[in-house]
Amino acid sequence: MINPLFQKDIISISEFSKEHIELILKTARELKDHPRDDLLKGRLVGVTFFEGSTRTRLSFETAIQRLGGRVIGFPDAANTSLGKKGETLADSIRIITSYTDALVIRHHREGAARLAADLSPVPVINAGDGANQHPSQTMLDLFTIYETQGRLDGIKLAFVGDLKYGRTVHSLAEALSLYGAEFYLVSPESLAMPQYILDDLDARGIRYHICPTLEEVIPEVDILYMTRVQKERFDETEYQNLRSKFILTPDKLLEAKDNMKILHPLPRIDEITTEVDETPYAYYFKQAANGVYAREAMLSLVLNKEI
Amino acid sequence: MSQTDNQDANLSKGKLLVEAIANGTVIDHIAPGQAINILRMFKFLSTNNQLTVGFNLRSGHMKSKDIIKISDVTFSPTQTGQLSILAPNATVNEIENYKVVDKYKLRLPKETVGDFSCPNSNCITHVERGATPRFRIDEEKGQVMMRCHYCERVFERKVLLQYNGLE
Repeated sequence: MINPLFQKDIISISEFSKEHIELILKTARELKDHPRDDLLKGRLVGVTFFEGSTRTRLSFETAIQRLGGRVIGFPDAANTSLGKKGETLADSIRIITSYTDALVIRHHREGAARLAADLSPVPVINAGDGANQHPSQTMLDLFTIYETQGRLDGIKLAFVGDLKYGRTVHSLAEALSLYGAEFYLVSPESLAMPQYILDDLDARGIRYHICPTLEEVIPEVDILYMTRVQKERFDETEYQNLRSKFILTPDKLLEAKDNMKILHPLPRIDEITTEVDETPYAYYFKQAANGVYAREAMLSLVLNKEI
Repeated sequence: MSQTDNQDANLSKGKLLVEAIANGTVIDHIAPGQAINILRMFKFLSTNNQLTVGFNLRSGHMKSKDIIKISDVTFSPTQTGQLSILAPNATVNEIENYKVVDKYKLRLPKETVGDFSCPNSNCITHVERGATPRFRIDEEKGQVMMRCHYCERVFERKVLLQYNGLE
């Protein structure tokens, strides 16, 4: 049977059904347990980062090479015709996709990946378009949650930090809503979850709690999803005040459930102290490593009728 | 049949509120305040066509309404789609020789292409000339919501119209 993602674009988590999510997670699990070096053999993938992102790019390139594929591309737009000569994104996409079997694109403009997908004759995978979508991050988050909890249904998850601008948070909330999650939202008031997301959760009948402190949610949750509060969004005094409230230290974890795991999309600055790394709850580095398997799964599925 | 409906004819009690036109289009039952936006959107004020506009007229089944009569203009299907975003539920009467030859009620289209700019300043449509702004239209709880095909932001119709200088 042809897999339903064959030759499809992966642009937005909002287009994913449970069937698609579970197919990717199952494939990622298989590739993690039984590595394959043949699924992209003879395939050339364009990895085009019009906006730099070292971890995501290396993760995609690792996934492609581990699967036996080859890569062309660039790490940022500075030395491309688009950056230097003013070529349109549309023209760049038309040319690159005439060379390659698939395209991975990251761009600082929202909607750039959709434009690429509309123009491309080969599958396009969105590696982040501005504040909009980053579906491979959501997939690796879901893969990690499933890996640590053995389920996606009814997960109790706390989002901590910047819930206003974090596309990772918004997309993961959307995906977990398909599985009846319960959310605990912990953030400075100025970085609270946007109302339109809360309205969407209400419409889906998803329970959420807006909580002032980190300590009160830790005993309740299966997953503590930390994000970076960007210093530049606050003045120094305000930032120092927030630091104490939203920084995770080992002493705050005393009442955590045994199964609780801490995730973070990284880079971590100082919102999780390095002492937390030694606790059994820390899982963020394994989460980052899982990014390769989630991306291997997505690439394999869009480029192979059957796996 | 007259160019305005019977209720309006009754309201006017034989007093003609607006002049009849020989050929063209009458857009009736426009929500009050929207006629000016329709004039702007279709640039009717920069044409030489005979134009009659009524604001806040009394109407039988609406508390009040706007109305536009424009000579020698008919609407293409695309224009009808645009019009229906500004004036959902309005009635369009096509006039030939003072007679109504076609009459239909507007319905919200499912999509609009190239009619409005995206209010999200970081949307790709603002920098790529090939990316024509497209919005999917849904009605949720009585509100018209418009979702950008590219950046996926969802806007209330009012916000989109305001951003585009149409409200």
